[in-house]
Parts: sequence; structure tokens; C-alpha cells
Amino acid sequence: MVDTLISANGPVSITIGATTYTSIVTIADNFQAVGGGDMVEAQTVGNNHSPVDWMNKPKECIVIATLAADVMPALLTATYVNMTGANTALSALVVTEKNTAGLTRTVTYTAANSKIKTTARKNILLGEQTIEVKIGTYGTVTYSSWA
Amino acid sequence: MDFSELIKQLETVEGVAKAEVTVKAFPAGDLLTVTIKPDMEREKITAMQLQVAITVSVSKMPVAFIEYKTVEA
Repeated sequence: MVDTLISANGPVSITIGATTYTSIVTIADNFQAVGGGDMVEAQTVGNNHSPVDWMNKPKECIVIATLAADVMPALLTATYVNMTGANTALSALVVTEKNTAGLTRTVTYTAANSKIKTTARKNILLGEQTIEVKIGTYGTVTYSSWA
Repeated sequence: MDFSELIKQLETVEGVAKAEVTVKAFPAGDLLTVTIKPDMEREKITAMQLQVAITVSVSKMPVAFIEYKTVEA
């Protein structure tokens, strides 16, 4: 069973590897419990570019970030999107959120278990350039309190 | 890396007065309590939180939750 949890709190930033992007349009995270019979596997060269949901490899969470930024050069340079082999695991994956009281918190995913699965087929012009990045991740998710 | 080294690193982050592991094995990892300096500017807290989160992530220590506290001046 997959539940879709879309945060009611506004995203402030997402840190993908060494870069923090503040031009976020939306963040959505789809948590999937890993229960009996499921298995969790790291992505390999063989399944690296397989479309999400086509594989029998359950993941705990898929983070979908829509950004109003040209992120592709940085993702390619860092081989987070690798056209010739396995995508490199992210060095960091942190989402910062702000609530209606103006307080902020962080949501930290296990970086070593986080890889970019797909990016949007093309940039979409919605007033400005946006691009969707879909990240598969498993392991612990560390929240912070609001401050 | 161990927790003492992580705490040393966290206490170098701007705005952090004190960091400590308050509960061991909470509930599947440890509870990290970070005390924010009383004179910390409101608009700098988000950057501080992000730096703390990244530092914890890079350390790979089993932190289950990061709790922020403020102290009165």
C-alpha cells in the first residue's frame, strides 16, 4: 500500500548533494512501508534507469521536487544523473519546510540510500522554467522540531 | 565518527549554543537536542537548521529526531 503525503507546510529549500535549491514550486513525498515480503535493494547499474513503479523493488519513499531552476547541469556534473552508468548516491538530501507560524524544520533522508530516479522529460514553461526531479530513497528519515 | 565528534562539529555552527544526545536509542536512534543561542536572529535560524541537518546526515550517526530549544537571554 502506498500513501501519498503532501505536506501542508510550505517548502523552503531542498538540498540535493552539495547544492541547496530555494526555488521550489512543490515537494511531495510518497512513503511506502516496507513490510512482510517486501525487499529493499540498492539500485545497480542494471536497474538504474528503470522507470519508477516498473520494478519489483519497493522503496520506502519517493520524493518529487518541482524546481524553478536549471538543475540539470549540476546533477549531470555530480553524476547524480549519469548517462553511462549508475546514478551516484546523493551526498545529502534535506528538505526545509516552513509552517504558517513562520517556524521552520528540516526533513533529512538517508543520503547514501538516495538516488535520482527520473527527471521530467522536458522543461515545462509555466511562467518560468520548472523541472521535476524524482528521487528514490530508503532508510531512516530524520525530522526536526519547529524552531 | 562518534557522537562526541558530531557534537563538537555542531557547536561550531553559527547560532548553536549547545548540542547533546539526550536519550539513547529513541525509539530507533537517538534524540539530538540542540540549544539555540538567545540572540540568534530569526531569519538565520533556517540556515542554522539546514547546516545542523546536513552535518548530522554526513556523520551517519543514528539520530532519530532533532529537537530545538531556545534559552532565555
